[in-house]
Amino acid sequence: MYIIGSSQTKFGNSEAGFDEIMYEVIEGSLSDAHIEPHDIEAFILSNNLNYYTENQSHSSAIIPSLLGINNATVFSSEAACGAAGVAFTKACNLLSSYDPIMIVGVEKMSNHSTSDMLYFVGTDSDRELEQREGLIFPAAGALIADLYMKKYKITLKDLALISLKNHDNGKLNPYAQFYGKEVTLQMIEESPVICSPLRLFDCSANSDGAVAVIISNKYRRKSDIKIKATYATSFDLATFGKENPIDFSSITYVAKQLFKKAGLKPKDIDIAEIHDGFSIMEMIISEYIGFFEIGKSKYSVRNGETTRKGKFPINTTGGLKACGHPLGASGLRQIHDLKRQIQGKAGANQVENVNKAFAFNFGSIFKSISATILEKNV
Amino acid sequence: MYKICKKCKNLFWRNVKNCLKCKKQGFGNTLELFIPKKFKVLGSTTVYIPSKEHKKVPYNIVLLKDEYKHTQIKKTFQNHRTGSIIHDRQVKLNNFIACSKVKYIAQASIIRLIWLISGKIKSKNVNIEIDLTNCKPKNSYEFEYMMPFENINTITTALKDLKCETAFAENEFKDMINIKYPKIKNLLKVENKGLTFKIFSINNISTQKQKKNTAYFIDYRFYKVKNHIYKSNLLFITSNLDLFRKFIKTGKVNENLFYGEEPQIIFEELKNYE
Repeated sequence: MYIIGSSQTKFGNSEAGFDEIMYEVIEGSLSDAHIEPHDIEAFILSNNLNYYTENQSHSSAIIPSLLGINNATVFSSEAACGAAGVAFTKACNLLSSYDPIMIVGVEKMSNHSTSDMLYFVGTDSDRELEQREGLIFPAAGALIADLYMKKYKITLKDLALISLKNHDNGKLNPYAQFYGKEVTLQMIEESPVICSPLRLFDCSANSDGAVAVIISNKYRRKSDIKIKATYATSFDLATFGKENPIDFSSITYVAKQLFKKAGLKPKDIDIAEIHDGFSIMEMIISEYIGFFEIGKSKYSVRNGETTRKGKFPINTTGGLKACGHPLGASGLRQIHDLKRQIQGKAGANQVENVNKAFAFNFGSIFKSISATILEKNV
Repeated sequence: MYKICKKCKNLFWRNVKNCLKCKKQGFGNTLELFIPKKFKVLGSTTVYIPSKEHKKVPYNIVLLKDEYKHTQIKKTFQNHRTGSIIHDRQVKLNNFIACSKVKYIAQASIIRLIWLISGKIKSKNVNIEIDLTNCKPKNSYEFEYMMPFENINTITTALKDLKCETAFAENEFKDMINIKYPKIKNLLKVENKGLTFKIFSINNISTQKQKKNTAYFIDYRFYKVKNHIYKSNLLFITSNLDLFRKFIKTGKVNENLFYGEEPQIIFEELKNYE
């Protein structure tokens, strides 16, 4: 399986409508792949909130109308913030029936208040157990951070360093919401507390954005990127319930399945895109995947090992933190950025000698998880 | 409040009838209902940003571990130190409403409510009146939806265990009950004596959107109940946050967990609840 084309809009507040940003990436990815609309045998739309934000459900059927064709095979994927990653894995599994497939991730979030968006996004958590108890997602992240930080003696400064590193990368990425914006450690540490202990700069921002990726079983050009393995699965929706609230074996499970499929180990990976919806998540995920020992990634953060020029760069284009987090598009943005890194087209964000790259995307709090390994075609 | 499969130990927060995995293996109904009463605070967060459903900030969310070692979260306006122990309390005040939010398993909420008032039931000559007029359904479908037989049965069984007289209040659905559930007719007998509790079921998973837009729900779920509120001690069962808030503002509802024994503290806290 190969990625043969991809495209992204600039993330952030956009005046363009949902359909317009969708059109932009469909056109961009077709150009990138050098193919025509009628060459695509199936589409998968990844979106989370259109029902609320645009009063538009069944958004997948918008795709044929944008292409100017009568009909198209279109599927949809809805798995909260993990929708795009799940859509990508789903597409890879469908390639035996449809080839090529375009996956389109779109979200429009800027035309509602923060209060409304917290409620809309909150619908991705358990209605009775969580939503009614006020557990908005930053609060869920904060509770996890509270326990994890106490257990492994992680400091607020460690979290701030993750945020700073991602903003340093995002500042250079023209597609990032925080492109060109200088964010300092002081700004992060003095930003208002959202849900204790998490501050504003520990949380990813609502964003408008779209990404499209085209995949195929057929190798066409040198720039095609090999999909070494991809895997997705879901776990019980409620964030809490089990005996150990910071048992993240779901992450390890997905990672083990993925690396087994790929015939690789975590040490074989050159760079990673990790779903940093909240800064603590980057730490937890990178540990439970096996990139670092559990409870020890704080040392790598402090030593700068995860920076763009470090030993193991993570979120080299800004992550969700600085790129922005349009829910239904973020997982595909990770894939798109890794593709650019492997192709050597990441501009100022380029990391040298990237051969194998890893992406991890999840919906709700580690519930619908997908992970993918991309490899340079040699 | 949850179910656990005795065979495979799987945890179910939702109202499943069986553990399908074990049932398929021929083990029958292996589910056991758990209603925890003792909680340890594992951690907490203070939320400073308002959202559509939780406008009053800051509020706290505590992560609790119960006596069966499962975790859950609760919203509160009180501060609870990590490591402290919280007990679910039986009601002790004379003028109270016991309240338990339905979280998927209505049966569990009913059992908890009966437990919350059981101290008073034991000490007095009590008549329990199950009042269905309050959730006046339009038809038999609505009747079952709002007050399913399973829940009526849970109430009557639990009360019989406490040796209480139980009765259905006179209501226009008596005939429907008699026809559809003849067993209940035989179970219950009206004898008015002593303290009266009324059991109201607003048992559903309704959404707030219905409040403003649908006259049907306004009639039956928001204002109709209000008329009854000062009349007697009530058992009140709801998952409906709007309704819960409305009663809280009157200082008449006690979500027992978290609140102290002194009435003034209780009501002060309740006013802050959203």
